[in-house]
Amino acid sequence: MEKDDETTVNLMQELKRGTLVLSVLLCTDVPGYGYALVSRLKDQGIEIEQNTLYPLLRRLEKQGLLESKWDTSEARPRRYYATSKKGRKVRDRLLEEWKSLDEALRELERAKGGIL
Amino acid sequence: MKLIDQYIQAIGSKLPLKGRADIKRELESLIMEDIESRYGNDPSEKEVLEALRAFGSPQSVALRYTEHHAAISPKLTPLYLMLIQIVPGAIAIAFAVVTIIKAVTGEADETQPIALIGEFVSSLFASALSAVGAISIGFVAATRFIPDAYVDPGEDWNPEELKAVELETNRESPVENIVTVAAIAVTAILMNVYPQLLSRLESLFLSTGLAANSHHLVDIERFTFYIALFNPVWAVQAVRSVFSISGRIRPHTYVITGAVTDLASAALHWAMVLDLSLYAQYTGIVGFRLIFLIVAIIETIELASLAVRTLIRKMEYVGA
Repeated sequence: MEKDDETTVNLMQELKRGTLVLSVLLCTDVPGYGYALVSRLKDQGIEIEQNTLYPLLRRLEKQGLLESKWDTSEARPRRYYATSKKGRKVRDRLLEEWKSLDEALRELERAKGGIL
Repeated sequence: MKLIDQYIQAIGSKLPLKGRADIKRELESLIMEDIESRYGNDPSEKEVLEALRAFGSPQSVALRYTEHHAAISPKLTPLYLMLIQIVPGAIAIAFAVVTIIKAVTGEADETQPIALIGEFVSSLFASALSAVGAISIGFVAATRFIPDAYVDPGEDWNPEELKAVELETNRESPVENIVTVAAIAVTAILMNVYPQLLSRLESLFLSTGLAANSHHLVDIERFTFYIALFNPVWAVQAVRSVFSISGRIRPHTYVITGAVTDLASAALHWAMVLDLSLYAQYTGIVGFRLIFLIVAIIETIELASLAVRTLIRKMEYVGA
């Protein structure tokens, strides 16, 4: 497979970055702590650096889209994040938008060269 | 693990105060988790260093946690914080030196140390405020007009550098505590048993001729009254140090007792500076009154510094 040039790599990163919030809101339906969420996303094919995810989780919490709780019952305290009520609403709306974009893009792909 | 604590501390020093403690706590948990999953429960130092290198430089990690749209660019914040910590301190030292020179050379009204102190405090406040203001304006302008003008210190980051990071601790080292107990014991015994030592020292000093026409003598009878007041302070300081050496004092108690005894000591030294009945044959400030004044200023600065540090620590928990 031909190696992507720098511009393509940057555009792909930008595209992925735009979907990160939605990915996180989807994967925190079940509460999870930072490190587990990285693995959970990775298992679904979404590569995200720890250093990108952890501040993002805090930012989403600040925006009221996630809720967090420290679990101190185990040897190592862990902070669990879960989608809030507001987060679920936003997630559903984003998902709707994503599907509509996906449909539009498929249409555009089908109409490549002006042939429908 | 010490290296991880040093890493967290290095990141913490670059984070905004608000919510700092919470971010540090979470990062510690995440990093430990990361290291454990990679290398198991007992990682070697080399493995920990490798994991920290992969996690990123403290500067780059802190930057990701910093809010955007700040008046001062997060990239410039470390330099800004360093400058506003150093500059007021340097100004304070400069003014303290000038004040002491004024007191010694007789430029100031020597019977009115309060005026001298007032001048010191007001000059220090005005100058420090102007300096911090000028630095802040400079950095805000730099953020506004040259947002990318910075060198990323994380680029050449080496985790080995963490070993030089000093961990914050509320306890002094055992050696410091042993020296403290010994010094208190010697001082307390000498001052209680032989307060006339002060007069002997004064005679020795006066015989040098260095304080001609600007000296005074300490009234030993009045001085013993202050020694009686100092005794409980010394006793608490000694007991505190002994408990600290044996590790039987809680950090909180250690800090509180330290602050209380420091406050009492500073108050007594200021009282000794201001109480004119403590001095006889007064022709100038040179002598023990000047020493008490210097000690009182140093203790007050230390107390102010402790108050600021405590406030900063409290602010770290805001937003947690």
